[in-house]
Amino acid sequence: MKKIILLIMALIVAPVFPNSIFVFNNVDFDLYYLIGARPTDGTYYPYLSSRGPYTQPGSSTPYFVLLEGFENTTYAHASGFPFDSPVTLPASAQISHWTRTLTPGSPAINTTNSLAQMMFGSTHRYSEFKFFMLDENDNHVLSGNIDPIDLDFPSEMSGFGITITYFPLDGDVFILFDYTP
Amino acid sequence: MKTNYVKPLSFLFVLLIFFSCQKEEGETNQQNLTPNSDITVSARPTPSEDMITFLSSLSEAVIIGQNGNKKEYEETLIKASKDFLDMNGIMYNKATSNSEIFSKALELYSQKTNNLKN
Repeated sequence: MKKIILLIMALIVAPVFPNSIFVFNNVDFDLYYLIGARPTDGTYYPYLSSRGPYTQPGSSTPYFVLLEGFENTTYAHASGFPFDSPVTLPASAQISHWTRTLTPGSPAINTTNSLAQMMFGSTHRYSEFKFFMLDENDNHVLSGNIDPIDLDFPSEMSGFGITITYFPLDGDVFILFDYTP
Repeated sequence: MKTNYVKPLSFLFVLLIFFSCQKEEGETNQQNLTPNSDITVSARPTPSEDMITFLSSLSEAVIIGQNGNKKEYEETLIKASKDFLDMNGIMYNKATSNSEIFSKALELYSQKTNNLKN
């Protein structure tokens, strides 16, 4: 009986962290981004980012993920989302490679890295989204950082004819890049 | 004759406070956004009626959410998504989660924008 009460209490008290992250690039520019993850405990803020044959701005690491115009992608919680493994050292966050579920017909790469998935755990959660956009001639269009103060509530920023909205819903995170109406 | 400087000085002081309190348009929303003013953003494709309705409902939901009403925010988001999917004949069953419904609606919206662009 005591165990059941404890279990119910844990379910009620346990914080809800994002399960999946959906990114929609609904404008005609290339979107490059990094998703920041921070531990549920402590102050270290490592970045989780896909590495691989993506375009790399400058020579610094980690690499930014490229999402072309009108593409969308999902960092899904299916079998081994990085946030789910039990223990990890913060520094290891720099060598992640998330499960990337892409829309059918997308020319981008669908890769997984089970090692990275094992390294990341419930100790981490979504915290911010750093991005920049380039036009077809690789000119910088705009850059920024979606860093919601309260992850449970939506936020929006707009400028230069583009609106970027952060929608939290049922523990998931949706980020939409769209033309400003 | 003694000149009274108190009134004009107080007026100037009030004006100074007034202008210092004025925020530039969009200032709060653009703290983290750095656009390149040399580049021109291409014109937005003219959205269809259902897309406009969907978008306005999303904006409405964001405002509701920002005012701290989480339940109403989620309800508005899901209602907008369901209406948009219904208008376009996209099926979903009752067991589909809110998150899946919203994701479907955004995918459809994205697809429709892309079609308009082409």
